[in-house]
Amino acid sequence: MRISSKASPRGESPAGLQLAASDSRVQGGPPPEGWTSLIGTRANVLVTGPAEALSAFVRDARPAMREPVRWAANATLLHSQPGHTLILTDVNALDDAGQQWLMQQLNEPDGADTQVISLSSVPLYSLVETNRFDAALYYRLNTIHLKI
Amino acid sequence: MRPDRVLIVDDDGATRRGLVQLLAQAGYDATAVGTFDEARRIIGASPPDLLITDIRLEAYNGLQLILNSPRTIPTIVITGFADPVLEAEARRGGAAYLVKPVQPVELLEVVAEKLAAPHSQRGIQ
Repeated sequence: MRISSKASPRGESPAGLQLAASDSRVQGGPPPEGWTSLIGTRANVLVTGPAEALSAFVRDARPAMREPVRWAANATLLHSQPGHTLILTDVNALDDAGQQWLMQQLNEPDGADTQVISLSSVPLYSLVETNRFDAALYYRLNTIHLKI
Repeated sequence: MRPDRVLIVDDDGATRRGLVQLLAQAGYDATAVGTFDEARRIIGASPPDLLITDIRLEAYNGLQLILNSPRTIPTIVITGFADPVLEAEARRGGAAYLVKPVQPVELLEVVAEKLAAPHSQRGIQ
């Protein structure tokens, strides 16, 4: 199965989610209490909130992530660096085939060693409730759920 | 001596009622809640001696209660969906992992084991 990737070749953030270290326009308030230690658990994290707040969150959480950090609009980079952090943007946009492929990758031994930080600008659970997002994949990506 | 306090977290009302009845009959002080937020509030205010939680708590994963707890809490995960990766994650956190249907005798054995275990083996540090 072939899935196109929107991630940059060097693993930098996609255009829609540029890191905004000095961007005073970023809104969304502070991250949830205790979020740094949660990132440090290496469990998969689902972060939902406005796009600008997601960008700010990633900027602030970056020091707690496992290096190297890679970005992908889907899971094509999952196995590029076992043990790394994969920031999966627009996870809510994964279609059925993409969801199935991602679940397969997460079931691989290398996949289990990758911490996936998924970003969604819509409440992803609403897609589960309407059968547009696989429930098993949702809870796999969502060991920790942070709303910002 | 006060009975051990057990907090049950499950979004299914019938499961909550059944577990509370089972544990109360076995001599435990059992309380049940149906949401992640309620559970987090209770754990933050007065951590139980034992936590029994489902994985699928609507928008949240019950494992977050273990990872986000202010202190070590012995935990049993009970779920209707077998998932080897989530099971491994739960066990890494020191939790027992049971897949429904769970026999009452089996559950009571695990509850007793968890409460009797040395602190270092009870749950995540």
